[in-house]
Amino acid sequence: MGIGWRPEISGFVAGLPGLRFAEVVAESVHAHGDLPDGLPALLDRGVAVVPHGVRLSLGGAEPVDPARVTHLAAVASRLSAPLASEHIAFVRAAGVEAGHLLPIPRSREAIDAVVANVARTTAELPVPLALEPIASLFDWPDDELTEADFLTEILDRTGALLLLDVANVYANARNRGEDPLDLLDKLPLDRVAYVHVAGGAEHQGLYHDTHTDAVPQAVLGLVTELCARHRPPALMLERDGDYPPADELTAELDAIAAAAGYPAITA
Amino acid sequence: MTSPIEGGREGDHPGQPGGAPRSLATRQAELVEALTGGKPVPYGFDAFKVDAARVALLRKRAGEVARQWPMLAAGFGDRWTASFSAWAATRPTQGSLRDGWDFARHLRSKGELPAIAGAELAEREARWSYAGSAAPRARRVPAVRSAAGAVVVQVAGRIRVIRRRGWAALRRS
Amino acid sequence: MQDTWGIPGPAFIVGYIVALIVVVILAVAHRKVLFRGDRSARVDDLGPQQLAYLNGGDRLAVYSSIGGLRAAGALGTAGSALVQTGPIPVGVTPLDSAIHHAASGQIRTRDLTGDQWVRSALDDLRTGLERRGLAVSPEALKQARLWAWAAGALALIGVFRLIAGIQNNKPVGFLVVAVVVVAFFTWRLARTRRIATDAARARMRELRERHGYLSPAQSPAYATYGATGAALGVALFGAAALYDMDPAFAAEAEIQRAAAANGFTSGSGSSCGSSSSCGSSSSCGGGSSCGGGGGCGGGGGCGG
Repeated sequence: MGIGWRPEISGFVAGLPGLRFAEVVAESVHAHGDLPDGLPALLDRGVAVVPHGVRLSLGGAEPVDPARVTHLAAVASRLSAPLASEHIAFVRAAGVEAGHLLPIPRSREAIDAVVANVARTTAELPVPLALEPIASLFDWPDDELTEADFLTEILDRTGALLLLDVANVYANARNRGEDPLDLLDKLPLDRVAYVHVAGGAEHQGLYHDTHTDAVPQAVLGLVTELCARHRPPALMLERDGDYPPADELTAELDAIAAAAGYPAITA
Repeated sequence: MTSPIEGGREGDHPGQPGGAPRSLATRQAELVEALTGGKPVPYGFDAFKVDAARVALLRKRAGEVARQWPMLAAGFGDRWTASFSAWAATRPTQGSLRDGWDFARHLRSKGELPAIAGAELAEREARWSYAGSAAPRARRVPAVRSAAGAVVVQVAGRIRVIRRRGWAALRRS
Repeated sequence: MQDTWGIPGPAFIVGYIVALIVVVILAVAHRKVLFRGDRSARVDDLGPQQLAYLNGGDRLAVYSSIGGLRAAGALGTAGSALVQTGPIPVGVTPLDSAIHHAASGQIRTRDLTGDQWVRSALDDLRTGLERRGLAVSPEALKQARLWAWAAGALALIGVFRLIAGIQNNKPVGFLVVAVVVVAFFTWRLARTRRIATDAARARMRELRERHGYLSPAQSPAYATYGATGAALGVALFGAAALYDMDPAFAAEAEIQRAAAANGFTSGSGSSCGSSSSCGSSSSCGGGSSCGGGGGCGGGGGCGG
């Protein structure tokens, strides 16, 4: 059971007695020079810290920038991380930054692009790579495969692990009008390296995976369903902003742990 | 990355009139432009949903810029997200520091920069030289800058605010 | 031509400088003794406002209290005056109560130290710290300032010699410089101001390390750390923490940003926050903000 480490709550994270692992945004860690304040203390404690890339754009048609791959590899070594993770998404095209993770079409062409980029990345990474499928408000018009088939094929061809974000599963299912359990049933759950749990909110009939809201009960329910099928090695709360009072964060962590059947890390 | 056409489907939306195969790269670029540059939503996408995504993106961007430019955001209060989004809707992001900087300069040129944001902009102008086209670079020479009634002097990296918001007090920061 | 006062020019200058050096050394040594404070004193059980006082005097203690009250929703601004926006939280210090009470009548921040109740709370705070050897007592300060008299006497001698020398048409260039230097030291010694003892300063440094997560550079989530966290952040890192926490409130309340001896020379977030997109970052791959912590963080659809 872990949490996404952020400088804004570094004091809170440092105070979690049962913390065993944390995830840090890879781009916020320098390959050389000082680590962000508070991170060295975590590493000294023996907490496993996993770098989570957000800007590599592995789903982009353009080849991934070698400098970014090198950076991710360097950070992974620096943190002595057991693995690294990134997303099945793209963030830039034709030199324009989108500023966010965007979905790729579930087509053969896109699969080829992702697989090629992942290959370029894993060639340099000293540790295994886990891929996270993202939540998206919209789909591409020429999707050929279902999400389950799409993800399975990518994982098979790349040999990468799966970073399952339960909130994303919920968001996508809800926005498409599908059953999230369907997807859970079809995914290769034995490839799950760890799990994200995050909050979101509804705007204008669409569920937004904001990471700045509380985790809804439905998502916690999905966590339980997931663990009933195959308990993942680790789960973590992912929160990016609008941090609530410490009590609420604690309660949320405990709720996730309870839903997953893991011991609480807050006491 | 293009792959050979399979059954005429690659890059072709079924039903799209007269479509020549367009690569994934092109179509990704089109989507990004629709989301960040105000271009029309590409054919076949659900326009409502893409627009919801576009708005959410702007909201997220506004939040990030507010973190880098707290006084600028505070000057707008509740209207921050709306005001920034309106300006940023057709301008793809250059990173939150530059976004905020460009926005602040835009406001200053129209005389609409909030008073409490003046010192913040003036200080950054004095510390770094930013031409708008590349990342800001630290200045080596002393500089004096002003914005919205605040005047800032920078010498060897140290800042002195001469006038802030109409106050005549001298302060050393 | 006769030497002024019978002492040759160069010899006098040398003697003068030596005298100055002796005075300075003695003054520094004496000050070290005076300001040493109680080595064994502990700061762990001090409240945020006491720590704030040690870091930045009355003003920072007031700011720390304001920070805590603001975070607890008890204070706000109307125009440029402080007002109550909520009831006084439980378990607050006398200084908190005093400030909250003063705000009921809409008071400007800078006038707070003039309020009687606030004033007496601050005095109690200070004497408590003095007793524990953490704050420098007024008596010790007065003693330290005595050295200004010595330097002043030296300056006076120099001036007399200057006058005599001019009357005798002697070259006085070096002497002028020397007198200016002595005058400068006189001024600095007379303006000696010290709040925290050396022992206290060392402890504060340790505290700042331990609570580094509250530094404005980390953009701490004040809601998570609570009102105590907010007050502590202001105490350890200066008024900049208040601006970090609630910039609109801090600006309205006319909080003076430079209020902290060594906390932070911040000035409108020049500390570039926690993210590294400050124009020179390498690993962030040009352009896009890295959001070390915010917004970029992983996953999903569009951040609401």
